Amino acid sequence: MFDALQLASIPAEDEALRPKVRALIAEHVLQRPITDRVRSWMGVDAAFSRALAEAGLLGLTVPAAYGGGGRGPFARYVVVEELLAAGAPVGLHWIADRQSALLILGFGTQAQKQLYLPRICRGEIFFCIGMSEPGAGSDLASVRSRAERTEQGWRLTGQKIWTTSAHLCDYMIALVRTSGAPGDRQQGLSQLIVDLRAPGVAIRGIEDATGHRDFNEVFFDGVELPADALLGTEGAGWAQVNAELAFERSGPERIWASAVLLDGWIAHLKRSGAGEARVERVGALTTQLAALRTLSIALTARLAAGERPLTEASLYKDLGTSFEQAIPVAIADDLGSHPDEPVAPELRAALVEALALAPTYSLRGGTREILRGIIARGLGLR
Amino acid sequence: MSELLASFERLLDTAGGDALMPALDVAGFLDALRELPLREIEPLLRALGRRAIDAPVAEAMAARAVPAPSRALLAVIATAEMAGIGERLLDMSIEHANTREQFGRPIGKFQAIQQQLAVMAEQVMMTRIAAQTSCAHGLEPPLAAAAVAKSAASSAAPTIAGIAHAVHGAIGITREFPLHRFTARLHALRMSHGSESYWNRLLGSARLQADAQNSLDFVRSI
Repeated sequence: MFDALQLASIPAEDEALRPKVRALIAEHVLQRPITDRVRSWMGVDAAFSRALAEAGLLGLTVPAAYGGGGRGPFARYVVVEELLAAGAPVGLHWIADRQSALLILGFGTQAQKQLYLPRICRGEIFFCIGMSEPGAGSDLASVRSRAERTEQGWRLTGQKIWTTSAHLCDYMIALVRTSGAPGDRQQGLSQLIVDLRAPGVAIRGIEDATGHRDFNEVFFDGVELPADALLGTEGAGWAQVNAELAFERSGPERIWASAVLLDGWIAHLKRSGAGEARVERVGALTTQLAALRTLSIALTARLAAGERPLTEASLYKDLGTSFEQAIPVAIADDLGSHPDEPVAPELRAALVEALALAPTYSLRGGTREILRGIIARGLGLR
Repeated sequence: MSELLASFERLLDTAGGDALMPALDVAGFLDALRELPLREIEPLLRALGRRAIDAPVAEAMAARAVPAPSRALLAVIATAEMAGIGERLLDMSIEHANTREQFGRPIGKFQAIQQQLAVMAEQVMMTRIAAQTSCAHGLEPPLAAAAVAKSAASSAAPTIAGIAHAVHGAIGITREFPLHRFTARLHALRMSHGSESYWNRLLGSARLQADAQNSLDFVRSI
């Protein structure tokens, strides 16, 4: 299995994107407080998303014919790692850029591609994920939301939950049942592009432990959708949603969630001084980060070669999110082990924020246990 | 598999004990690093690991290629051997999980075992990529590159060895069953040429002294 994962490096033409991204980061991100920047994935800033689009940095992997950059996965890799390492507010365009656009590109009709992709690349429309339901978390195939055929198209009834930024988005790509019964599991599921402003859609925020309202419940009460709301093939929703999850899991972004906190702490150590234990701890986290980044580059090279390394992507996501979660835990111990040392209130607040957010890192996009099950299958154990 | 690796493995599998070093010398393998870049020899180093060969083959190769091999180079070489050991231990553990039956089925059908083997595979993959990355630097690896590699491999080693033993059960610690040779070698290499804490101190110190704007800049410079 590991023979396929070869050492790779980022092509020079993609490295060349860094100055452009950094200029935008300097203009829009660095002055934001660290407590904002630790929330990068959840951070929302429409002006920033549009600035990225104007600079040609959204939809980089979408073909130029649909308004995208027409580039390979490494172009997006460079942009994403720069944005996340700086804690840029990427939440608004994140889902469309990472997975919805690729899903539409892969399964959509010519008309759907022309309708959605250019606007995604211009930062004009934003998408959210429509997978989880109250009774369908890790067991995604048990979704109960249901769309019935009508003369005009579809009538959708049901509910989604944990939908990040649904209240700010324009569309959801929802996995719903279009035939059969919940007991049919993977059979009879389809993906629909749901206009979130259609009558019958109700969005209700869920307040999280830090007081933010990023999560939502989304209710569909007989929502009338046109026939071309269907994405891809009716009944092929399970295969399509797995392709979508592959985009979600194999990205380069699984190591940077706590990077802003790490750098805030390192700045603190530079001011306060670091004895041997602290130096060692900085080294332990930095060696892990460097090794994981090499792994993510090797994985991206496989994607660039047109492969879908599902097992390796799961291995990487589990390792990466464990690392992201270890950072706030380590920093909490470090700061707590120097009780008489002054710590900037922003750093403390960012730590509290990161500790509260960290559990989600190994939930979103497939829980740790689900990923390890996928790995076990890849190892020939299931 | 390359012809070089195939003939190296044939020799390792036929010449045992005291005959190994002379046989490798005669065949020219101890001079391999004088003729080929380290990244091309890396699969051979993993082949040593996959057999838990205790003889100082890799050290001899390094000593023939450079007069006084640096600790960084020896650490990088040890990382590659550790990657080989990890691969073999994972193979052995999967094989055992798929054949050993308890409660009427192979233990590999139990999620508790599957989840552990998944964790083991993650750590083996980290060790493997660390070996490949650091061997690409050749015979004079920068200290930071050696630090990342050996720290990653040494940090992974106790998890890899621990899960291998957990999956194998009591048979794993018998003299008769070969598992202990691999885990003992892995623990020994973890300590050799700097354990993870040694290299973490070194890299941590470099990070704290660096002018890097952020951690991304720093790791890109390694």
